[in-house]
Amino acid sequence: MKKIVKYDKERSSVSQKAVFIVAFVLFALYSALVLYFFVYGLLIAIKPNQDAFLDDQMTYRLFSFPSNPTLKNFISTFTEWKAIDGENGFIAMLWNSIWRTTISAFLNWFSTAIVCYVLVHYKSKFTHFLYTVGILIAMLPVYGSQGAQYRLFSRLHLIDNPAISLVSITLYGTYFFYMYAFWKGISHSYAEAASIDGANHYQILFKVMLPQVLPSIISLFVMQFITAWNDYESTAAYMKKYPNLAYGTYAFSVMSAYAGNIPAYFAGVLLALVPVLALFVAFQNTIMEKVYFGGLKE
Amino acid sequence: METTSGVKLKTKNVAKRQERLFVFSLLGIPILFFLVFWLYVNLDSLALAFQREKIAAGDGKQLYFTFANFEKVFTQFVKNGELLIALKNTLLFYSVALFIVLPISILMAYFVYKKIAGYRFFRTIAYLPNIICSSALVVLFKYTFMVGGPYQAILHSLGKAYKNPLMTDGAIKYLLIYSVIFGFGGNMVVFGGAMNSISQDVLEAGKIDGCNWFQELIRLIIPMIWPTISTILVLSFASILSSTGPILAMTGGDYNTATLSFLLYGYATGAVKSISQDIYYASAIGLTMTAITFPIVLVLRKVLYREDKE
Repeated sequence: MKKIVKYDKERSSVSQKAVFIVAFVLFALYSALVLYFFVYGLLIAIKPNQDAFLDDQMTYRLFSFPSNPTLKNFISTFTEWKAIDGENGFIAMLWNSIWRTTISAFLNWFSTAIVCYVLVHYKSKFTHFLYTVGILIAMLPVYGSQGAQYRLFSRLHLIDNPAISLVSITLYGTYFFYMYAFWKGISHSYAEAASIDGANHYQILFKVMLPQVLPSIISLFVMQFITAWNDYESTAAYMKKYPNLAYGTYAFSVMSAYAGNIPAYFAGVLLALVPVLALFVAFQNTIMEKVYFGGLKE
Repeated sequence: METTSGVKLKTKNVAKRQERLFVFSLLGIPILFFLVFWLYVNLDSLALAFQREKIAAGDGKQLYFTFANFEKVFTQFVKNGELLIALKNTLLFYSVALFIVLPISILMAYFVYKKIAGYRFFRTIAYLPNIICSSALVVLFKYTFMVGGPYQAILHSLGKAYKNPLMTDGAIKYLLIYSVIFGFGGNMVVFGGAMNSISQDVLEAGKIDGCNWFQELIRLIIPMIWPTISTILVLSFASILSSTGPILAMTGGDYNTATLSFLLYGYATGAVKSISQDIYYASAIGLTMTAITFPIVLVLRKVLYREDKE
């Protein structure tokens, strides 16, 4: 009997190994596919100039290592990107990306954190009502408000106005349910203990509760930042005078007659990815391991 | 002289008032913004759907009540117009997300959870498209199919004629391929997080009972992370219908690639070259979409959460 069990276990262990080997191979192939696109971008970015690009294009060799590769496009991109919208160069777009992303990501993240703190730790009929509305809004799709939103922004003179970033203040932010779950993980007994020691509500929030949840919710800020950094659609709709790098990339992709230096443009595309990649590398463990939610029901 | 209970009551009242003030100070501005930028906007959108503009005396414009926007929506749906094509495309994107991306994401999350060799690297690569600007990804993807790119090189070596597939009526297939290739990361991380919260004791017990990897995944892990899966299912239904994906940068909605949300974006903002801004028509499309999807989401939610309860 023992022998049979042992044989079964061995067989299962062998088949398990086979499955994991197949999974490994598939993962490796998938990774190669994803990385291919970036290698391709890099191969174009290191072509010496537009002529070399056109030569390779004519001979179907865009995906090939250039005979005389160069990194100078990563410098010339700072001037070449001006050709995209005629006004803003790479540096201007980089600056717009930095300030617009920082302000909007922070406001959205911070307001969501504060709202969720109140909803979790100050239970009342009112806060329960707000939470229920939040669930309804997330679950029940309401479409078509962009037209009215555009009209409102227009009336409030928010189109092409930096003040539009304030609209990021929200009751139900992008990561509302994640934030709610994080706050639920913090015991209210800490707040009660601080209250007995004489701390007021603000001191409890900023000195006792927020520091505890910060290591977790910082990952949400990073995700919010990355999303805002990459947002080109709202720039195309509302902030064309303050284009960010994501918009620059988009504007190029829809230009039918771009006569500039394409290798330099690709160098710019790759450079534009560096800040979010650096941020992601720095916080990837936090993002990967702490971001989850277990359903929306209480 | 106040009694002890009177003092206690007064203290309690003061504490209550302070608490209310605190709650109001934190929620006041977000609620105000919600009322203006969500509630008002949506109510206004409802009104816009029944309005059109006409030139009034002088240089002004006057709004009048009409069902013309809905007539246009109806005609577009019935006569194989852009809305019907957009609806088909939207359903295609949702089906791909539901039947291809979601199951593969769960499988990927499982193998990463089981710490397959190189799992950290694979996890990072799969998540990479989520942190990279989609307009950059689109450019890299587009250039693969452009003149002189790898796609043409392959066709050339096979002696086949080349035509940029993103500039044909079959472009939607390539958009779907794009959404599959770059669609796994987000769900994988969320499912991975949910799997990390599963008690190891349960899995150990499964092992003792002779569960293989597939049984462990199907019978233990999926039921335990079902609240996360059902939430993703419901939320993704709503989000697929509200996000425009890579269409704007990839094709600009040409070659029959527009989805409903893309058309909405185009008509509402005027940011799409081939679409003239028409906020009234956009609102009517939105209202129609809401009316159609509202009951679907309700049923979906009821079914999924009943499953969850069981």
